[in-house]
Amino acid sequence: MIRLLLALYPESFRAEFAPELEADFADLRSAGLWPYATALAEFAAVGLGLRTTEAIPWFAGSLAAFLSHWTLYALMLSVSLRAESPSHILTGIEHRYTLAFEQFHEAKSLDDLDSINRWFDTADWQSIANGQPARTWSELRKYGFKGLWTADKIEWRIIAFRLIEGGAEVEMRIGPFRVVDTWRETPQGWRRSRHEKFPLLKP
Amino acid sequence: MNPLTPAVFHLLMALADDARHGYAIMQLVEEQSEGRFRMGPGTLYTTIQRLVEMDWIEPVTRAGEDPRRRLYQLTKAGRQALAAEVGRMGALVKTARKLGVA
Repeated sequence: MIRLLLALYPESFRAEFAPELEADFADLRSAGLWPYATALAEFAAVGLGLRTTEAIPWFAGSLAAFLSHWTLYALMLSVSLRAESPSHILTGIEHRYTLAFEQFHEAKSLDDLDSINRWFDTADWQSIANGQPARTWSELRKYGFKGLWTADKIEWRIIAFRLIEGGAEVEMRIGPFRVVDTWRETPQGWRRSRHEKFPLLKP
Repeated sequence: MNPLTPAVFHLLMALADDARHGYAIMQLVEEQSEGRFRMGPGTLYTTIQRLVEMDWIEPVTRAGEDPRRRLYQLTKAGRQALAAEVGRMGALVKTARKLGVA
């Protein structure tokens, strides 16, 4: 639902805050800090420019209830078509790579790498390197932190992006390698499900 | 300097003693204002975006934190703005007391 409402915000905002907002709304829903529907309605109202960010307390009671039901559902229907456009998906995936590489660079232990794997990859994620057999994260982590981590800053860029059945495919250059990652949309958002690495052929 | 908006003031206050991520800011604002001021996600993140652009707050990374979230901390300029606002409010309260309002 939050991904639909994000379509109301500028692309720069979505690229910057989508993962944090997804996490916040998941926690708002489970922890009940305040009514989930009110939070959604507030988010929709700010995105639509129906309210500024300056005045807070008026948004309460019956108005919230009204917005949170009929208006919100109508709004979701109206934005659903453009919410998942290819460029929106690519922006979200690109942002996840940025965050993941930042976190990887800051990682200090195997626990930190586990943590990245949990939010970045699907549970059945597989990695294939240079035609070797596919390996899961639990198989890869046997190499330990020193075997998986590098202090070097990793240069990466996306070369191509296309939607495929059930997900998306991203071709990248990561250091000296050509990489093709497959992404799948899950209830928790977009997650990488497959990573295949090829040596970059020199001309 | 113009008075800060309530959203900006509460957000800066929530970062006064430590770096926090958005959800923690929402919780702390609710707590600090004793439930009188609720900062919804739309208000929160548009304000964060603006304050980062103004260089009043900045994102920071700490290993071991929830990777989905970013921590934000006050910059020197943000701390100065907050101090100036607290000073302005203090002077107003002083004047109000002199007038027997409070």
